[in-house]
Amino acid sequence: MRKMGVMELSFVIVGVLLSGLWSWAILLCLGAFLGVLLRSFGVVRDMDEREEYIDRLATYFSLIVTMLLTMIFFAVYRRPNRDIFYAIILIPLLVRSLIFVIMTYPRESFVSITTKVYGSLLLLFALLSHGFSVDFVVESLPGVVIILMGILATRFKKWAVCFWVFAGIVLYFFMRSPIISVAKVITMVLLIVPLALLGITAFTRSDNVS
Amino acid sequence: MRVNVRRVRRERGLTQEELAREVGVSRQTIVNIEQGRYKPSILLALKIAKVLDTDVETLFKLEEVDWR
Repeated sequence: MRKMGVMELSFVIVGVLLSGLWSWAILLCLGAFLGVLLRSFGVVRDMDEREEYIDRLATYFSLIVTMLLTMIFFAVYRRPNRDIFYAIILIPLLVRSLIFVIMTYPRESFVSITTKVYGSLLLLFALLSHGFSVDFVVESLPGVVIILMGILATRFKKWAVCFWVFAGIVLYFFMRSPIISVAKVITMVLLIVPLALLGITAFTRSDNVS
Repeated sequence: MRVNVRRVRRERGLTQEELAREVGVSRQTIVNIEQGRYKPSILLALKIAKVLDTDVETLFKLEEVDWR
């Protein structure tokens, strides 16, 4: 079992303390250290050397994405605002997670893990926004559809097309309004990038088992 | 580098899952080593060789292209 390092533990403690002032601090800490926390408690098995290598590679890429986003947003908007800050936190975390999962797991596991996490997050958002109501049922439909598409795409490759169709529908709805804002860009990236990656990966051939 | 892990593993009658468990890595890591997509550390290469009851040079052979 991997023990949590002093630095990681300090970050989590600081995150918990700061969450009293700013609720996003705990989310930021969880996003960055959830894996380490789960490994420390033995919920998830330790990473082997290849997974550690991929983890470092994913971190490096997310650093590049962070720098690029910072440059782009500050060049375009000049004055930082809350949405830009969220984008600089969320998008690299998404990139890091996707790179790690896509490089670590075989096709079926990638599609299965990503659709379950993605669908569950959409369900959670719908539940937190509306509680148990009719609105929740309506808003939870995309989450349910994504989980179902994941189950089908792991069994039948052709169902991977659904991810592209879904990404296209999301893109269409965002493009209908000509106004571009940071919040819109964040939502688009968070919704479309995983769908597009799922569409590509679900078509690839899986590794041989012997 | 030519990788002979798959051939030797099959000769010993082991599955990828069994070899992975013996050396303490994921099955996917063994898949990647066998396909030449991941070059293992010296420690892991030695462990694989020990489990397969052979030497590292039988499993991994240098080729001319590796010197360029």
